[in-house]
Amino acid sequence: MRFFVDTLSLGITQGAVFALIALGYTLVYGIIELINFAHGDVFTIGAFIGLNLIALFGMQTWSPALLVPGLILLFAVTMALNGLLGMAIERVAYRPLRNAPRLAPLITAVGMSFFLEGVLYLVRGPNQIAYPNLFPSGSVSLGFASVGLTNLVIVAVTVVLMVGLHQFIQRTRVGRAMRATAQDRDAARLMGININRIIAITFFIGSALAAAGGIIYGFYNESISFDLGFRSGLIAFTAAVFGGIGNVVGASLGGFIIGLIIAFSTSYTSWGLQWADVIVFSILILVLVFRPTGLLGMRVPEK
Amino acid sequence: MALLEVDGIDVFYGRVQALRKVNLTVDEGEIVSLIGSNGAGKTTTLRAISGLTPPSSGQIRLRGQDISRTPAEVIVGKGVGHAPEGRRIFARMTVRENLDLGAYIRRDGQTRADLERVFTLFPRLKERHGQLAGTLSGGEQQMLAIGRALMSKPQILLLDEPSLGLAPILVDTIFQVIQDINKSGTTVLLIEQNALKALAVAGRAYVLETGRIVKEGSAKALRESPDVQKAYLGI
Repeated sequence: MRFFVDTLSLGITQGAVFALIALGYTLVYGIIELINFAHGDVFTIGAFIGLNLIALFGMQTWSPALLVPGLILLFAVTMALNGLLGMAIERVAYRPLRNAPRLAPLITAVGMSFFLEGVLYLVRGPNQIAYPNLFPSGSVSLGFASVGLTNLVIVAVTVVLMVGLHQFIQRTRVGRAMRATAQDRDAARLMGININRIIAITFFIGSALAAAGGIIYGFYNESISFDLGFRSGLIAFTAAVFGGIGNVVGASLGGFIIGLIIAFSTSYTSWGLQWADVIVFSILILVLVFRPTGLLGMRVPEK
Repeated sequence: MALLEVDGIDVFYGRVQALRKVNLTVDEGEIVSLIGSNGAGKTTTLRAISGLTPPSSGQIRLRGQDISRTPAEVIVGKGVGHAPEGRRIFARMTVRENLDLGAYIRRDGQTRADLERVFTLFPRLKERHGQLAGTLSGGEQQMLAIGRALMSKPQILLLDEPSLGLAPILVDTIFQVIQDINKSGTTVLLIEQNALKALAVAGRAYVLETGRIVKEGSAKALRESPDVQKAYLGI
């Protein structure tokens, strides 16, 4: 039982990170039908921005009373900075290709991914870099098992961000404009919606969520490296496809499910982590073959 | 000064020229109709006016102000409402959300009254306000497209084939509503394949053939013109 709960907790926690990244893929795909391959590296950069801010303000030594508002600020500032980075990438790399054939921005996205990874390599080198965990350590006992406090906080933060995103998209004027743009760009323009602005906002939100995922990844794994976004990005992309690309709830669900699949397939078999990737990408292929719209990617009939 | 002046515009889709030196004017309070067969350039004319397909040469003026290079999202704020070809409603949103999007540019806080006005014109939309727009019937979708365009409180309403694919009884309803909208002060530029209906509600009309205006005049004169009767009225 204890082993089962540990695996469950590991899966959900890792899944939270995948879900936060997957949201960025799905938001951008939903609005401009681009698979933003650079998104995984935007996630890595978010983790590094967080690390730099922690070091800059010496947050490891802050007292617990200061740490709570400090952490909120850390997330907010990192998310905002990474959001601006995402907007900048869209502006220089994708917007000029808005009316180009679809392959052009796709290849550009792959190129942007290599570019960002290269920059990270040059700046931070090839090694694993230690990351402090500022979330509470220790664990809560359930009697038959115990759950890490860090895991609980991670899930709480992730759920808050997901619910916030969902409310933003469903209830606000800008959120409605995002949905309109995703459904019909010309019709959205006829409503007076500035498409370029909405696309920029979408990149901002996706990159901000990836930054939150980056900090959480750092806290949980206590180390990061320049190429972290490659594997995490691909797995999160799988999660987005699994949930139904373009669907926000689907991406969240997909992230958690993929996290659980990886955790259980590594804990309950002797295959090891390499095989977990094989399983994940086999799922990607199966989904693409048998249910390309994913779990929740359904369409309302359009007459 | 005319409310809308289209002054010698050329429009290209890639290398294909869709409009050649098209001229037309619409005065305040009029219903003007643009008739012509499929592919004549009617839809392109409306798309040029609302900014979706800007002209490569010529000028489009709204109350004398040049809007030929103004982006579509800005033109709607200047008082041009466009219910486009194929309705283009947001299928995965509710009727109410579609109408709210119609009022996206409004900052005056008076949209409630306009919502009531749309619901008065189209009681069906009120009944179905919480339903996903994609599940509406064709006629209801057309009502929604017109209602959505009205929510921006346009001075001129561009209607692209509002009767297309509708049951005859609904066609009558839609044309009645178009006249009501016009009576309450909104100028209308109407595209129709159903030339008979269009010429019945319009004061003036233009005939478009392969990208050129070939005839213009009062609706009455066009109804009586042998060429028009032969080509468009099936008489």
